[in-house]
Amino acid sequence: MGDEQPTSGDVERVSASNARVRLGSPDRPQHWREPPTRRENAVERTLHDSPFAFDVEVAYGDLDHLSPVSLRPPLRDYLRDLWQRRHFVWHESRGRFATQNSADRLGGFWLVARPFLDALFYWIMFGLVLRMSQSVDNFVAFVLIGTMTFQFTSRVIGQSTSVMRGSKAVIRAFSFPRASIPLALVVREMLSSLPGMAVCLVMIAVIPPHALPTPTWLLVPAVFAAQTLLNLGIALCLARLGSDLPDIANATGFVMRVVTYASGVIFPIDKFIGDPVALAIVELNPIYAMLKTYRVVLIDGALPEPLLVATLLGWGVVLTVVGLIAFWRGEETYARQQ
Amino acid sequence: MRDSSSLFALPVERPSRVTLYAEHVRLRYSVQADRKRRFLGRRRPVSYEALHDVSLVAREGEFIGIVGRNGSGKSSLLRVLAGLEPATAGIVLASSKPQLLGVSAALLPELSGLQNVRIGLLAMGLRPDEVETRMPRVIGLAGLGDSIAMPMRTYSSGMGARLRFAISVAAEPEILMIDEALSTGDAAFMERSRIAMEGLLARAGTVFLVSHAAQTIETMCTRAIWLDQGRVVTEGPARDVARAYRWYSHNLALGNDEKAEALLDEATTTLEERRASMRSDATLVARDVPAQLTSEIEREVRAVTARIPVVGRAPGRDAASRHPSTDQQAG
Repeated sequence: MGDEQPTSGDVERVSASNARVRLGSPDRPQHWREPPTRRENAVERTLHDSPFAFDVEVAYGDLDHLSPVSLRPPLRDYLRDLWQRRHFVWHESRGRFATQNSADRLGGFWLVARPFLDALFYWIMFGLVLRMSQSVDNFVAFVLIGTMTFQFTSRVIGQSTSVMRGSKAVIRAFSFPRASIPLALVVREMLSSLPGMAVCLVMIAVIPPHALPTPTWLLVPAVFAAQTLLNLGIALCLARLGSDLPDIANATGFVMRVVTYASGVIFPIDKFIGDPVALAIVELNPIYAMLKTYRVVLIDGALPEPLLVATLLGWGVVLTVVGLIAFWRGEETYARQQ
Repeated sequence: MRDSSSLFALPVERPSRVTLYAEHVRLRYSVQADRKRRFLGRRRPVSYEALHDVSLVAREGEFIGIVGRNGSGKSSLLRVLAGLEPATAGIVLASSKPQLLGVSAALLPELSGLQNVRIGLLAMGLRPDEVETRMPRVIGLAGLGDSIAMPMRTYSSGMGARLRFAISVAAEPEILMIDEALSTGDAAFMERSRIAMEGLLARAGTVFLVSHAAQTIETMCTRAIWLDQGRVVTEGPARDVARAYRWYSHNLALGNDEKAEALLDEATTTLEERRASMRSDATLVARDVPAQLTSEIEREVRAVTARIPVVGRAPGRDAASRHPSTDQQAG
């Protein structure tokens, strides 16, 4: 009875389940069925033992064309679906990027004005008032690069814990790979950090002591791409965590402060640490590696050390892969009521 | 359609296929109930069963209404059937992913209706060129006039529902589930949406409609399911079920609780009874079975039927014995 496999041509050994399948199957060859996967097999076994299913099949025809509604697709199919939704991700992030300042009188002007005012503040604070340039040669450029490039990452960290709850209306209305949501968040923040990057490059060249463009400035788009990859990994991990454990959102402010100082956004932390173990831990921090890469390329005009690049890219790839798998495993949970 | 090349094809209309099948579905929430709590102690979660052993089947061309009191599990049922919420136990099978249209906030509140349409269609998996060709139809069905260019946060709930309905229908889903969303629409939109849904049914789709207004169920649906406290009270022709429900809720509204209780008991049919009625109106289904297999199948069917615990007048045997007789005509 439990024999699910097709036995070609052997009419004598047709199982009850196969006979039922044949009863109302007009557009399939009589003797062949796709071998079931493990998950489908469990469903088939349930159907096979179910008197209700039997009555339904007798009355209305077979149930062979049906498949479970809440089945998480295999990872490969999931990635294919995600790629198929790239236009959705692009339109969603571009639309929200374009309207994020729609309530303000000056609208899109703020995209440039905000980073410009930030940069002006840091220049006056650290360049004119405090004059902290004992440890670093061009401290103004150091601080500007740190704060302006870190904004992209900090905004992604700040939003990704609550992004799934915030998008519940879209998640409930349509069925699409849910990883599109954190992906769209990263694309949107990437778009809104582009003006800040441009302002940063102009300001460090204009403010004395000038960090003038060198050939290594051409590497900035590559570093930016590596930062985007790192942010994507962070967004995927935090989106899953924040959806399972909403408490995380309360801790982001604290975590952000720790990350800000541990990554040397404003102060050159590696100059203050004597302990080699602590220094090694700081140097393993991907955000520290990212900021240092930017500074080496922009201020020193040199190529970054391979170890630095490896730290940045390694974390980016590992977090993205781990985050994607973790996110995919929670695929059925994001639309839940609670 | 039927496979016309089959030698054993009978001149019988293809019966409508099953599009959705749910068996013994349970849904259990554990929620933090509002109770006295110890200092810093975690409140004990309270388990609440929203759906209790629901089995149902839907076919092509069926327009199924779901009635029941507030909190009877109607919306939970639709969410489980649509695959948005995994059932605690039981299985839900469907011919394609159902499209659920619920009462919810604006999709992307800051974006215009137009952008919401485009993004919604892309989210459902349409290609950009398909989106461009379908946009005019969606905008026409929504019928929002110039408001389509306004941000969705400025929409009234009726306008939002119109837009979401138009987007949902544009992807031509095989199974459409509507949760109260149409109740906020005006008369002109009701008419338009009725035409859209009839088109969907004509293309071998299935529509589920949740409504508090039993009148709506009676006029629009072909079949109705009455839910109470997470259980199926009864199902049957929309007219009968909707009227029974209206009489019950009328008595409930007047405060005749005992009479209402009696009516509920009277209306209740068990799954066995519903199965029996399904078997008794079973039409021919075995059409393409080669003649040499019929005796084999007959034996198998009898063997399986014998295992079923039969209630009452044993109609299972009737249904099973029909197949061989029809197939003998074919041979």
